[in-house]
Amino acid sequence: MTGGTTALLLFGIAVVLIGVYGARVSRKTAVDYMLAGRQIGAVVMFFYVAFVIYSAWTFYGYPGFTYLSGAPYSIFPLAAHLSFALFFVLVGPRLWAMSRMYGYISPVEFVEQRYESPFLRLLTALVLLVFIVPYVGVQVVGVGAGFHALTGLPYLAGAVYLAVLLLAVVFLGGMRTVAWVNVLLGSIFIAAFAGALIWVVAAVLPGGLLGAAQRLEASSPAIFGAPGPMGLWTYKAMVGLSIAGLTACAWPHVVVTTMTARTVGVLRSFALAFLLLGGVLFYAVPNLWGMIVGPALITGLKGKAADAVVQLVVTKFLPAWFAVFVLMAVIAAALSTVGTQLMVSGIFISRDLLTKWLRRQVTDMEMITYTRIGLIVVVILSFLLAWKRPTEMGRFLSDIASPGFTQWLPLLLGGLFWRRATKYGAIAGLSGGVLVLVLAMKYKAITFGFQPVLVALAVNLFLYVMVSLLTRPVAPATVEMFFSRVDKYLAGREGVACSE
Amino acid sequence: MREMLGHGPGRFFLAVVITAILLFLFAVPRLAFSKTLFFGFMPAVWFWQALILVVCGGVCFWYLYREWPYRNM
Repeated sequence: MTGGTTALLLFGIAVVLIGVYGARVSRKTAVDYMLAGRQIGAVVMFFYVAFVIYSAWTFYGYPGFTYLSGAPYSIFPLAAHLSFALFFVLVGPRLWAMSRMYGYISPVEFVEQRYESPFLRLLTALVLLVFIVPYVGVQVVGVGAGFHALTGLPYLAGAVYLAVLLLAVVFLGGMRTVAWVNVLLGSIFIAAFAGALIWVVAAVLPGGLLGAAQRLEASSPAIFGAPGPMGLWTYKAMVGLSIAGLTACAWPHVVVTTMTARTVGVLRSFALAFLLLGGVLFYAVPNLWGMIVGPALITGLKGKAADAVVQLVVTKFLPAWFAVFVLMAVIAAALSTVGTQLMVSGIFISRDLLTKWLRRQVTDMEMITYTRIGLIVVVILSFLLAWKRPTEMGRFLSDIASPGFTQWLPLLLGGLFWRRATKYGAIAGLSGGVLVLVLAMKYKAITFGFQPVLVALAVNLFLYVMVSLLTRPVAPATVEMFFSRVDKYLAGREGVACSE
Repeated sequence: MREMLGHGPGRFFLAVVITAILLFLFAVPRLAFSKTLFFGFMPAVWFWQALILVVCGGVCFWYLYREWPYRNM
């Protein structure tokens, strides 16, 4: 067994032990397992949510697709930073309040009560589950690519390794363990990702960053602006990319984190830190990898091979021990993201699908068991997708998963801020948007040159608004429950009605 | 967000937020056609986005820590 493989084995054992410890200290209630007891503070929240968002995609898919298509691809993640920050301060407080007032565990639970529709809750949960699978698949692909680049082991070996770690952390410990692990894993990721960049720029890149940029300006200037080396980035395409980024706040595994905060002030702290420390400072790292360092040091990569550009630079130019550290960081990034995605998937399956279908009260332990069953199902499906690997990793996220999640944004925001929204409008909008999105993946002509997410969202919004206005509004008691009572709660004028 | 509409600082904050969103949607894609490198290494599309985030961050800091309408509980 090589040193690298040994180190990975030891790292895996350490993570499993954290999962075991997390299981021991857990209070064995559904809220503790699924929402970390609603006790996440500011520092943990930053690492927890940031590294839910920063995944193996940040290390592989994003620099890889930037390497191929050019700097304009940065519009997607940077717009997403703005989106997440604003979501936490504009929308987060209401979700946080409702979670405490009405005992919600799943982010989709409020959909049923707000719209007076169990069917809509079921439909929303199913749609989100379907699009979570490719996102989980992205992480599995990333780790598989990294394993292969570093150790020469087959791509599937990395995928299996990640699947085992995920089940240990999430299955055993639940959301609280995922949050703790994210602090550790996030720190490793920052140290390795940024550390590798600094090392390569200082010791390997002739002339440093400025020298490399000058050489690229002379040899391959297309990478620095639209339309990019692949000619992909037309104005329309970039507007669509911006929309995909600005609607990223709809990611269900991020929405659920607003419900875990200890206080509403934690949401504010996170938003500011994420905007500035994340978007401006940290995201300079993958930008530099994809726009300058990768293209300057490794040329000729095409298609899916570009996913591993960062790992290839690290393996070729840095000592073997550091390359292993970097791979651990990638696994850390993947684990931290998928952990929460799996938790959310498990919550959808147990809370929104199975228990509604069973039509009876379930105990906390039964809920936890159903959640665990859901985790296994999603891991298997994602693993199968990773095995097939139909496209470049970057596109799993920006072209499939994120546009899919976006389709629940109108009903989520409308449910919170528009009293006139009805279940018929929400069902029509969600169904129409998803249908257009799926058709657009196969029949590009229906998008008229725009990004599929833009067309799908436009159809979704139109149906949502028009059908809502033409159909019977919800009961006044429901409006009061989700508007004036929540307003009073946030202003501190109403006590907690139901929480745990 | 409903509470923010009820006072002047909140309306200013929302105006800045909406402006930032519109800039990302319509101005950044235009600016992305430039191949200028700021500071010798930063492509224009990245520079302008970072600038928007910094300005937005500054306004957020002011509003969230001085005028935010929610009681911290």
